[in-house]
Amino acid sequence: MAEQKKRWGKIIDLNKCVGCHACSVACLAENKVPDKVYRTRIIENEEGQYPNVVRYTEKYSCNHCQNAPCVKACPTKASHYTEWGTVDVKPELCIGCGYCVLACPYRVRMMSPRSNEGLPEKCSLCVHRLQQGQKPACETTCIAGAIVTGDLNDPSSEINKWLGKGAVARRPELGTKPNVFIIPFRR
Amino acid sequence: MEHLFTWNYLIVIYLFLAGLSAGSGVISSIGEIVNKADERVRRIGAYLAPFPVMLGLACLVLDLHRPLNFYQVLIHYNPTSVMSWGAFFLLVYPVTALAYAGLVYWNINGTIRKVCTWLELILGVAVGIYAGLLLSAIYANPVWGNSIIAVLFFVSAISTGLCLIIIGGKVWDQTEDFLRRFIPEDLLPQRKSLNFDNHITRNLLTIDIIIIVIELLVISTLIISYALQPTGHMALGQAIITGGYYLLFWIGLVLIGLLAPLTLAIMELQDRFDHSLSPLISWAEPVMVLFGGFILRYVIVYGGELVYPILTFYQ
Repeated sequence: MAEQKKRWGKIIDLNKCVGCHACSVACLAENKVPDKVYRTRIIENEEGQYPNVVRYTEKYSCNHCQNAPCVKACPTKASHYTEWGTVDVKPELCIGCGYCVLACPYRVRMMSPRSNEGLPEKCSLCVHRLQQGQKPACETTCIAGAIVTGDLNDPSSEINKWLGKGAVARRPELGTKPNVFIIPFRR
Repeated sequence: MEHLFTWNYLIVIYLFLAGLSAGSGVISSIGEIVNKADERVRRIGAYLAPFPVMLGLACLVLDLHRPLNFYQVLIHYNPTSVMSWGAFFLLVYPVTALAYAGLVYWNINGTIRKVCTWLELILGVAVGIYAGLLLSAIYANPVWGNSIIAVLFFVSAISTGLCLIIIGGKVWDQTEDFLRRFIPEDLLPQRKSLNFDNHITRNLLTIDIIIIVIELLVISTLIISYALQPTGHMALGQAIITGGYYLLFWIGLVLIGLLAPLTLAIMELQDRFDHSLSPLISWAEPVMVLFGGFILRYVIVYGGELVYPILTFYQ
């Protein structure tokens, strides 16, 4: 029997996120990200009109789109879909033109300095950890349990239970079909 | 700053130089195909076309973060990537332009000349359109995600290409005059002077007036188009019209790059200036247009990145 195609994804529950930045730092350590560059970060959002104002934090990183603008834009096909259903960059093909960084409508890629590798830095969903049967660094380090990753094509996975809790894709109007979802903040 | 702006001034220079090459190549080859344009314009356009784009390509490679991998873009193609198409055009255009310039210089006629002229025209249009399409393909960017950018860059390419021809013709003649003052006649090859006189400059100024008016119309259309787009207020308010690079846009592009040369050219054609000023005007007008063409690309490239910040970037 042929193995079912994987579609690895991530869900971030904004109601559980406490904004501690641990995921961001764990990612830097795990992926040895160069100075001044981040693959994931926490953004503080404000919503509503005074006096009914709320603040909440949101983790931003690559959405691993199934219809990714960066993969379409890459002139050498260095940006590609992996067998895990995620989006990654092949260093041997990448010329460092920065077109994928500009093409990403979510603005979650950025170029690492020329003095370093000069590659577009982005979340890889820690594919190197997935291959060893481990969870991504951000999920294992999250103190609030706000992050869950798993195979969206596997009906029994934890991530599919979270999908039913009102998870939505970011900016679905772009037609990028992200594999990363958020459970929006409820007041 | 390296992190805030993914693309910097090298890309601006590259877009400007690619436009110059495309413009002069297209003007020269159209002149040859319709067989109406002055021989001198065709010649100088053909001679100038290959070189700006080569310099531009050098800027492009310098801007890459992994320049040693540059050859990958020439052997791997992605049909959905505008840049991949552009890499192909930029690979073949300088070669075609060099071949065309050689055919024109040595007066070689026949089928090969015809094929080369048509190739020069088609590839010139492709390179001219590509420079803008590269930006407008980034549809999520409030400033760049507008197809009118491609038209604007093409019109500007023709305008700056024409001005490059005016300047090139003058420089050619003056260099030759200068050389002949010091070197005996029998040591130099047969006189190749183009005689880029006042008459031909006035004809070119007439064409330039038309192109500048078209460019003003396209810019107006672009601004109206921003106003009608949902994200257009960012492009107008924070990037080019009232914020961001608005001074460069209004003073550098609209005033110095378009309205001033337009006024100068019209007044020169109406003989409003003293005759002794003509050489000065025919220098000032094209230089202003070239300056405006550079500022246009600067404002669009930097303005687009200013209102399109990277979210995984701290500070």
